Amino acid sequence: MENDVNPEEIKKVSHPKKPKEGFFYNVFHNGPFLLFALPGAIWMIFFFYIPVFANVVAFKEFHFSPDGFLASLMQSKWVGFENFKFLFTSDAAWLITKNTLLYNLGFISLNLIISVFFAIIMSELRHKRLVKVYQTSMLLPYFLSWVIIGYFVMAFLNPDKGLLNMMLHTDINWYAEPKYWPFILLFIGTWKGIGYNSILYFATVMGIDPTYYEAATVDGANKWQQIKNITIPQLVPLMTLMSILAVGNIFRADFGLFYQVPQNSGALYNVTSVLDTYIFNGLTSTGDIGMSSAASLYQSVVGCVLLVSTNALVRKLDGESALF
Amino acid sequence: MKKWVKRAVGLSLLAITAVGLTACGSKKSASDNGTPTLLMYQIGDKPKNYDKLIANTNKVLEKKAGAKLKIQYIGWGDYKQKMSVIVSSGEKYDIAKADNYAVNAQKGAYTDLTSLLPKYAKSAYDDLDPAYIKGNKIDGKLYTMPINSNIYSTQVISFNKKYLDKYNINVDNINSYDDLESAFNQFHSQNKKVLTFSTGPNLRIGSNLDFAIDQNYPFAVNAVDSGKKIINPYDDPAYLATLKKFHEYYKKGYIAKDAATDNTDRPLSGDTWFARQETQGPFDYGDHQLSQTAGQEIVSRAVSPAIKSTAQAQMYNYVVSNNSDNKEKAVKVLGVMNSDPEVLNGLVYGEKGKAWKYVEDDKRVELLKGYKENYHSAPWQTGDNNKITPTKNITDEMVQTRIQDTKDAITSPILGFQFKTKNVKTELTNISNVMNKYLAGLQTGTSDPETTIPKMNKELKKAGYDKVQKEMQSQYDTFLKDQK
Amino acid sequence: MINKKKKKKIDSVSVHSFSKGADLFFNIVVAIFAISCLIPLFFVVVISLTDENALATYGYRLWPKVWSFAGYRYLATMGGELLRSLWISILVTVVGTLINSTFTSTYAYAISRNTFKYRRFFTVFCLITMLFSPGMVANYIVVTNFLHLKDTLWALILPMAVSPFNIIVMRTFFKRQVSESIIESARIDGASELRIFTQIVIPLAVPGIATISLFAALGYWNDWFNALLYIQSDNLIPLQYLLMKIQANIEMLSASSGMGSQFGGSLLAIPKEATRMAMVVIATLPIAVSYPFFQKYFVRGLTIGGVKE
Repeated sequence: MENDVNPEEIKKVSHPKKPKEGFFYNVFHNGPFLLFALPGAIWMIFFFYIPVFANVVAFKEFHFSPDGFLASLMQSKWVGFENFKFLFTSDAAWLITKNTLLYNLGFISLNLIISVFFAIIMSELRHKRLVKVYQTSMLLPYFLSWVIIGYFVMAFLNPDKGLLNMMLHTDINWYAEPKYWPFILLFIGTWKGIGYNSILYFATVMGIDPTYYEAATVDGANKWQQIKNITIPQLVPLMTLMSILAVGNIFRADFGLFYQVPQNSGALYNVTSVLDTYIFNGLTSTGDIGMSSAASLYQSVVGCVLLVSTNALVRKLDGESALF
Repeated sequence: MKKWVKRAVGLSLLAITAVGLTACGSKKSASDNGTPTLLMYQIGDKPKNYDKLIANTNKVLEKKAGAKLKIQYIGWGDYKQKMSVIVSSGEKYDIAKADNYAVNAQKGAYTDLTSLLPKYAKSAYDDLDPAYIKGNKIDGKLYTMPINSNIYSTQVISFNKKYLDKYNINVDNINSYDDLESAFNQFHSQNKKVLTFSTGPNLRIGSNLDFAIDQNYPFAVNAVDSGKKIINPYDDPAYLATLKKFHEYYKKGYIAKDAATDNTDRPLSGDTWFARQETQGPFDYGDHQLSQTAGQEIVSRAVSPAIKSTAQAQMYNYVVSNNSDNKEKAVKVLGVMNSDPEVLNGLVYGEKGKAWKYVEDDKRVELLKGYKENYHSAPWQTGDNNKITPTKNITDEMVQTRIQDTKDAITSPILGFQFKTKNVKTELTNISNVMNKYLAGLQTGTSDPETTIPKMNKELKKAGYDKVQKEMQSQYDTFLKDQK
Repeated sequence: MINKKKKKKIDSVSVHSFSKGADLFFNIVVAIFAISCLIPLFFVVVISLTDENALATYGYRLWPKVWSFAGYRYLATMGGELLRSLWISILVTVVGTLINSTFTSTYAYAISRNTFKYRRFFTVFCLITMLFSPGMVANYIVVTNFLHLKDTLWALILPMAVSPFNIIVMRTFFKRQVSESIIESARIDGASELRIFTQIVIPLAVPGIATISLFAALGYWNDWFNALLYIQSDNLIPLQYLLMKIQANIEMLSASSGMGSQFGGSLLAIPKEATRMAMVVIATLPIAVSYPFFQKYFVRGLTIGGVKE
């Protein structure tokens, strides 16, 4: 079975590095691993590497041809960076970029701290049954779509009939007061994802070799010292990893959170406009596929640059934790 | 552990087999005996008796058009997205309801029907209100077979008859948004629990203006004065006055405090509202249609003139794909669907004999017990409304009024003007974003026009309003010149 | 194997536990948060039982003034359709999760091994897919024209058959939890790589695999977009898409307010909010209650981790 190397595989692994014992020796030697990676790699070719080339449409003035998409793509006029312009020329460009970045930085740090906090606490609670109940409930918001959460928030913040105004005996028109919204959005965005995000850390804590803790207990370390010296260090690689990956998506915002939860209220645009809502509001009526893929490409390229630099930084600090 | 692995393997084998079986079961057999089956994408939910409806339709189509039809329904919410993927990917289909007609036609997604329609769908084509043809031509070419239906529209304020009677409110003299004051006041002072004027972030006020792109872009002409200038509606005194009135109503509590963000649904059939804004056209037969849908009596007063506009002309456009293999037959099918009463009645009312029957010498239709929701399709998205036999309760007088009203309606000067966005795409996107910020607030009366509009106009200017206006004006001038 | 060593087994429960005081305090903290997560679902259930007119008059309340089962009654009218969709959803979720976790772990295992010469290449190969997006139209063409999967269940399964994110996460898991020395000793014993993977690596990585399986299952269960793109037959519609369609119809209606007369009575008759919320209840409960099943393996993995010497 190990000898059964797919010819396609050989092509793919043609790596610039000079093989020591000859290329075929290497492929043979790494056969089993190549086979392990094969299904995933084929999937990536089909569902990513082939279709991703369609992104050239970002540089085209798209025009349909009766002979299908490829023909349309080829025959469309090349317009360079024309489709990207709308992302930079508007007055709001700086604002939305700033909003997107700041919110995402907020989410990355809040998510990290709170998820790890909950994961550790959950792993240490004495009633394991209760932990199951807690975790299941914490996962529930993940299933609710933003539309539903939008309603839920509305039930609290509705100026006339909302619970919050009734309880506080205030008369605040929440959907017209931008100053509260950065906190509301940060809170809700983090709250919704905590259950999901903490699962990963929880599983990691549960996977830490228990002998470490035993030894620590024998040495007389208290709980806090155990957490500080065993659990957290063991979690650091995953924390680093998650942060690096999140940085790669720092230019993408959760559309639903910023669109549905503030009910797309115009009065709040200064604090709720992020790249994704801006693109949506700008392009829904025209539906220009060139401009929308330009926007997505822009988000990807910036994310890519940031990811590579973060990774380089991490590698300098701690080679083991770096992604590549 | 071993047991776990075994179980997982067993389970996966079982499940994969199941997938295989389900997949096999879904394979369809394509029969082909000379008459091609055309694929048509329709918006909405599939009627529950689709097989019967389409069999009946196909009987006629086979004879008259030499083709059969397969209608694939796509839900209301998915249509835009799915159709845009289908069109962009170049997947083959024959007929569809156009999505984003003007833009896609300009990009070459549809077949040019200018010469095909008079040739293969003559009767349907000839009976179209001329405004449909004018409103759908792009650079002199027609890419669609529009459905003859509500060619003009007017904004009306509809009142819940129950409340009008209960509080003895007279609305006969209401002809504008200004006139609403006293009726609103009477109601609101007596009933604070029920919302006086139900409006929402998606409603746009009616006016004498007709919009060049759509109501969300601030480019309009005065339709009543057959305006030659592209103006910013928010600079138009009459439009501005209405917005101010709305703000007044808002301050007086007639409009919900959260109207700009509120999506609460107040059903037409319910009692949670006193007045609301609706759109009506000729085939509504006054309040007949609205009352029927609501299941309760509704009284409406028009607050804007009846205008034949591009938006109305493009309400429901059938298009033939540019990659269809059977373009001529597709046009023939559209011709039959927009002219043959048997096909139309069969689709719009359901099964003949079971859901409806002819009365009064086949001039009217009586609905029978078998007429049920989800067992037929809506007239405005099926075919020429003129050719559908009216129901029994539509009198000849009502038909006459309809014909007269259609004649009297104002034809917008901008009807048929298709703005080419090519040179100002970036600016338009920016403008769209600015408008999104202010539209809902202004249109629901939530924000004060006095302070908001100057702010908005300033942002519009920065977004490139003047450039777009200039471009549009020059295109419009050419358009007007070509009309003569 | 585990049972024999029972005496030596180190239990998760014994090493992880707070002192009693801290336990109480943190229980309260977590409980408060958990309740804050439960309230919205409670709220959803309540609204699904609220009368539509009361909703318009009094707004959303945590305790309705007028109760009504209209939402569920409406959904019950399409009982057969719902059950069929539920079956499709379960099928897709189960098969998809199995495929996804297999492909994801094998790939992740390969790139986690320092002995694999091309690990860096494959890591980057995977990473790139996370950063860029191929675009909907292009994906659509691959699935329909190249793979000919339109209107089959595979169109719901394959587009999500591998998750690059999970690969990267699993890679860290494998790196941390499966040390090279264990594998090396197995190799010396003459075990094949496949045997090493199934008999040694997988058991050691159960918590990680349980996690990514859970993520995959959630992903499959919540997915409606692939169905929107690829499914046309009524009998292949998964639950989420069915609900999504109803939901979209409702939204379409409120967005086109003012066109009341044009939309036939069928849509207007739906008790909108209640139906919407009833749908959420129906779509959430089956998957939410399956969570404890996955969680079992987080703990089980640990006990196995404990016996390794």
